[in-house]
Formats: sequence, structure tokens, C-alpha cells
Amino acid sequence: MKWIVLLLFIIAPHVYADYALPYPSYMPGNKMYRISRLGDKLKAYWYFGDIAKTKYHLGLSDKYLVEAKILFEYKQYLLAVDALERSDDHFKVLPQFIKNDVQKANVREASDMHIRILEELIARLPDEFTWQPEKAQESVLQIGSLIRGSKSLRRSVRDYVTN
Amino acid sequence: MLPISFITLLILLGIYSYGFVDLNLHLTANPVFLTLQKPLSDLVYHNMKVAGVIYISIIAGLYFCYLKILSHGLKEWKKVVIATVLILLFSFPAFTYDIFNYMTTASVTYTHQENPYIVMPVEIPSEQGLAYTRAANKIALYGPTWLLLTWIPHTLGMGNVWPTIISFKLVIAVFYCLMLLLIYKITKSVKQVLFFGLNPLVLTEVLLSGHNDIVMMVLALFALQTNNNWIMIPAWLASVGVKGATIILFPLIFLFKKPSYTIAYWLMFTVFLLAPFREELYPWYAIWFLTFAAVVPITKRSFIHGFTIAVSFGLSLRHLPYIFTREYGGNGPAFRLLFTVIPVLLYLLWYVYNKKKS
Repeated sequence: MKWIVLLLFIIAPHVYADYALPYPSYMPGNKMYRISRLGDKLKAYWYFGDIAKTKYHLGLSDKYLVEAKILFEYKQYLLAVDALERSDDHFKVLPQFIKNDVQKANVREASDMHIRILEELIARLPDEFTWQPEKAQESVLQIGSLIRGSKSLRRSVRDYVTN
Repeated sequence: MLPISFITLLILLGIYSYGFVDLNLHLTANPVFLTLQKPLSDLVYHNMKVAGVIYISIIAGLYFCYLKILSHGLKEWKKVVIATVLILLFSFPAFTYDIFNYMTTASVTYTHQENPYIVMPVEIPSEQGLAYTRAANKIALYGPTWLLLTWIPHTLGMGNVWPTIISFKLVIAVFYCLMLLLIYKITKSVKQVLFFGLNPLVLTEVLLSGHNDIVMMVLALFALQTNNNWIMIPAWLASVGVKGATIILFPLIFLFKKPSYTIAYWLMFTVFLLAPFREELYPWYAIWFLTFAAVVPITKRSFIHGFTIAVSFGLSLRHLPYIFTREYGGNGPAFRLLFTVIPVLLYLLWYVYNKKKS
């Protein structure tokens, strides 16, 4: 009986939980959107210390990535590109705050999840899109290039924390 | 005879407390200390029934002396209070791990310079306190007043665990003394001071275990006893900033011209009764209403005072199931409830019987 139980522990599949991105927050157009963005900026003072800063920047990177994903799905490409750039800005500062293995593991998981989302977006979105606002000049959004850049940023941070 | 008995029991309690040193906690490598401490540790961890009998004997003895002191007075009360503080200051915080939580949170804040309301101690693998701290997987449980105050003992401890424990207990002892001074200032009665100061629950939960409820209540009582709004409101806010329970005193701060200590007593007792909805009825929560019982004049057959003593005795017994079994679960909750409720019920029956008789 002991050997059967021992065998079960050896051959049992590893339990794994996906890194969880947050639920979508307030989106552009909502009355609370600007207030939530202001709150995000003010929270920087509350999140002091390296571990807290990692949580802060990773949290906001996750939040803005989710925001970008939703906006891309609704074809709001201009707003989506802005959200993705904000997500990148928060992700790229992470390495300076990482001091221990717990943080490294967290950032590694986050990188994998972000890369997965970005790969889904690359597959579904046009490489380029011309944004034609009614009363302003049109602009060409290099969506494919931006998303590939974001993916490359996550890969380099992931490699940094792995080594 | 009475002061000697009381002090002897406290010395026994102080010695007994060192049996509760966590097996992962190394206070010192001194061989003399380790030799003396080992039999105590064996008693608490392996001879639980005997440890339980010793605990109940000491507590019963302390309550007996306490009641005698209240009824007959104590001429040498100053010497007894000083001796009490000194003996229990150097005893080990036996019946709780909260003081280690205070130390670890202070370390997260001041050594690792992380926000303790965001970062849990378990997220810092290099934190030495993790080996002997419980609830290390929680963010800071106390308010900013307490967090700021912990800078003092954290600094005095200089990174060594035993001096840090003593430093935290020293801060608590200072607030205990401030409480006694406040009670005397309000009541001008030594009996009222001793009602609080020598209550065995106060001794075990404040001076021995080092709970920070005394800090919250000193600030709350200080707020209520002043007529100056510029002192009252900040003191009350500082009190709320320790643990939050005194927020219920809000009506007394803003609506009453002269706050009633009896109302304060029942307000804090109400919060105390609500505690199980959040977590559990911990014995040290009795400090909340005991404080105000101490400033309500003691009269013959005073219900508040008799009731408070009965409740504090019942709460003192709540440690017994854990001492007997070294487990919180199983039949522990049922026994804790029984030990708390029975003395209170007995007192209520006795009070009603006496009231009818007279």
C-alpha cells in the first residue's frame, strides 16, 4: 500500500495555476476612467520599497495590457496603442526592483502570460492601420511592430530574471 | 503576606513563561540559560497536562490575591506595582505570537524599507523572524500609530531578537504605567488604579504578552478625559490608528459635552462581543472595556466591576485548552467557550440572587 501511495506522488501530474491577469477596469469613455488613472499615479507614493514597487509596476502593466486587449477587440486602435505603450513603460522598469527569487518567479510568470496575450493579438490584428479621425489628420498605426516590440520587451525582462 | 504571595506567583509565572519559547526561536546560545530553559520547554511541549495544571494554579492564585487586594487594600502597592512591572518585563511572551508579528512588521518597514500594508513578511525570504512568527502571510494588521511607535523598540533591539522582545515589552510597560497614572488622575483612587493595574488578565496580556491594546486604550482614555478639542480629537484618532476598535467611541468624542465612562465601557464591550465575527474572542480584547471599568467609581456590589472581573477570569482560562493540547482545533473552541462563559454565568446568577435577597 505504501508503495502505491508513493508511486502516485511520483507519477501524479504537477498542479499548475495560470498567472491571473486582473479583470478589466474602467475603460476610456467611462466617467471614472480619468480618476482611476489619477489614482494609479498617486499609488506610486504608497507603493514604496522594491517589492512593493514590483507589485505596483507589474500590477499596472497587467491592467493596461488588459485594457489594450479589450480596446483592440473593439477596434479602438488609437486608444489600444496608447494603453499598450503604458503597459510597456511599467514593464520595462521592473528589473531595477527585483531583488529576490519570489519576485523573479512572479515576473517570469507575468512575462509568459503577457507574451501569450500578445501572440494572440498579433495573430488577429492588422499589421498596420490608418486611423482617420473626423476633424484631425490621419495617422498610420504600426500595430504589428508595436506588439512585436512589446513581446520582445517581455522576453528580454524574462531572460534577465531567469539568468 | 499578600504582597509576598502575589509577587511569588508572578515570579513563578515569569519562570513558567520561558517554557513557551518557540522551538525555532534561539534567544541565546548561553549554556546556563539553555540548561535552565530545557526542563521548562519539556514541561510545556511534552508534559502538557502538568503545564496546564500549573497555569490554572498560578492564575487562580493571582485572582485570589487580586480580590483580596481589592477588598482589603494594599499598603505597599507602589512597591508591588514596580516589582510586577520588572518581573513581567523580563518574562517571555508566552501565550501569544503577536509580539513577533509586531517585530516582523517593524522589520519589514524599517529594515527592509517596504510598505507593510502591501508586502507580507513571507515575501522577504531573508527575513529571520519568519522561523518563529505566525500570520507572516498577512499584511500589517495594525494602524499607522502603532507602526510609527514600533520604530522605537525596533531600533533599541538593534536586530537581536531577545533585546527586541524586551524593547517591545518595555514600550508596552511604559504605556501600562501611563494608564495607571491616567486612572489615578481621573479617579484619585488607588483602589481604582489597582483594579486595573493588578488584574491578572492585564498582567498576562499586557505586561507578559506585550499586546498593543494598552496603547490604544491609553490614547482613548486620554482623549475622553480632556475638555480640549485640540487634544481630544487627535488623541482619539491616534487611538483609532493603533487598532481601530475605539472608532466606536465616535459619539462620545463628537456628540457628548462630557463623555460618560459607563457608556464608553458598554460601547467597548459591544465591540468586544462583535470580535468573533471577525476572527475570535481573544482574551486581550478585555483591556478595551476594563480600561473604562477602572474609571467608573467602584461601589459595593457594583455590577460593572464584578462583571468585568468575572469576564476577565473566564478569558484568562481561554489559554487552557491550547496549553493542555498544543492545538487550537478539535474540541478547543468548545472548551474555550465553556471556560469563558461559565464564570460569567456564575457571577450573573450570584448577582441576581444577591439583588433579590437585598
